[in-house]
Amino acid sequence: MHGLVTRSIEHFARQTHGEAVWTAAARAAGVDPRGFELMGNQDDSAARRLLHEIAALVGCSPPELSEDIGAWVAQRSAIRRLLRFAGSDFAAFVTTLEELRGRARLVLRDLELPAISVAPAPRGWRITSDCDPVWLHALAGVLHAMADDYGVLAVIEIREGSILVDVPLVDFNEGRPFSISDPTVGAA
Amino acid sequence: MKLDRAALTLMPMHLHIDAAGRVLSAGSTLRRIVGDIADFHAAFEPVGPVADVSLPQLARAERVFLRSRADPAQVLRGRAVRLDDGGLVFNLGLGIGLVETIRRHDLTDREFAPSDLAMEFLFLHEANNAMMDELSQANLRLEKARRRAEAQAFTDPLTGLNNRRGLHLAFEALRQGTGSASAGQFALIAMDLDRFKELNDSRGHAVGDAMLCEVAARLRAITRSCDTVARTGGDEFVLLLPGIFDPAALEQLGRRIIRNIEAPARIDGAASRISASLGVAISSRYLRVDWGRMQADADAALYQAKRTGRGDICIAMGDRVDADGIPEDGGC
Repeated sequence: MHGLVTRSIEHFARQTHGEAVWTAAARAAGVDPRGFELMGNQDDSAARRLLHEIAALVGCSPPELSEDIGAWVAQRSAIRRLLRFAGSDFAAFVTTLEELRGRARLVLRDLELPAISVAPAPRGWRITSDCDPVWLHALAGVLHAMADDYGVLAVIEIREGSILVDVPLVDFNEGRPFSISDPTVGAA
Repeated sequence: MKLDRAALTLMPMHLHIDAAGRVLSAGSTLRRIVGDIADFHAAFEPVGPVADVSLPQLARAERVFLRSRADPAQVLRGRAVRLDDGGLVFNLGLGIGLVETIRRHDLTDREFAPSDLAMEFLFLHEANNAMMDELSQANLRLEKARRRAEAQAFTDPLTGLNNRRGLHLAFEALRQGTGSASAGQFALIAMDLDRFKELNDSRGHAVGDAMLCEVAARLRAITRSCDTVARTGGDEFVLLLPGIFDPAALEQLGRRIIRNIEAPARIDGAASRISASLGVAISSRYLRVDWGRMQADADAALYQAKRTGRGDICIAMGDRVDADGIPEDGGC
């Protein structure tokens, strides 16, 4: 797994739940509590153990935790901006999610994101992938965060291995301002 | 060639002019960038490889570059076709100035044709900057960690003085500077504490450690910033003093160090007294300056000093001695 992914888990744990939770989870998972470096690949099983340990410490299930991580990652200002480049509204964002993997590869050739497909559904979309459910939950978290960002009221749930995105209200509120050329617009 | 007006609606960066250069239509994005223009020649100056800039020639060029006369920093690039009526249709783009133009005119993704890769270019530009930021932060972290590790590797954790490795490094740096010039010469002083073992045994290791820190502080205070002070073992210290090679001056300095160490120290509520013995080796007394040799000689001189009595100093002979066994510098 790419260092960016494991480092995201680490930073999420440290910033959201504190150093004590991170240190305890890292020790229990057999990971260096000093943290991951950015580049290079990490052992997949280490990431999985970390997710379980953090989830146990904060009292939620690993799927819930990966959803939280997805939402947290999508709110980091640099990532949020890159995600917003995918489309000018939430519908464009969701329908171009299939390109996400290609976009990620364009930036970092060894960052392997799972392939996903997006199909229209009544009032929304159905997103499927044969990837590990952990990824699907993380993607659901990203979708939650981005629906808020675009100002769309969306109900996002995972059912039978796919994400259902239901949008009862397209113009719920203004969402967060965004400018493709000015990074300070809508920055936290 | 005939113009299909429907096709122009797909091109937000098009420009349609008649044979006289009058603007008949301009794409919405082009108008945002160069404003409402009426005359081609008044609005643009063709630049670049095409020498003949008449309209028929522009239509023949592989690529044309148009500089805005109102805003000379703005150069558009594209291609033109000539219509049957002598008019021209240009399809223009922003080229490498894309990011800058988008920023200046606050363009949005709706202003580009979906077939245009402008958004992908911007995405990459931004992703590239974000990655560079991350990487330079990672570099800073690694650099800090490296410095910390290095400092730890050369430092005695108890006193903060140099350890043996740090001392060796400083010695090598000094050795490089010893040629014939006297300015590059230096002294190596081996020092060990007298009555330290008794203090350690009677009052415990904590008091002993506090005493070592006190000695370190005193040595630091009495030496110059260019000197190296190291703790090489339990109660053994080594000093490297660049530029000092006169035996009489060293003898005087040695006595001052001993007096300093002998001054009572208040540790854990009780006054404690120790002393120190010193052995000195002077680089100018050697034909070849060598770490092992100078250290061994300083140690031997130190034992000599201890034999003559506590709190004494002795200077090693070295190589440069005359027929009577007196060092060439005439010293003790």
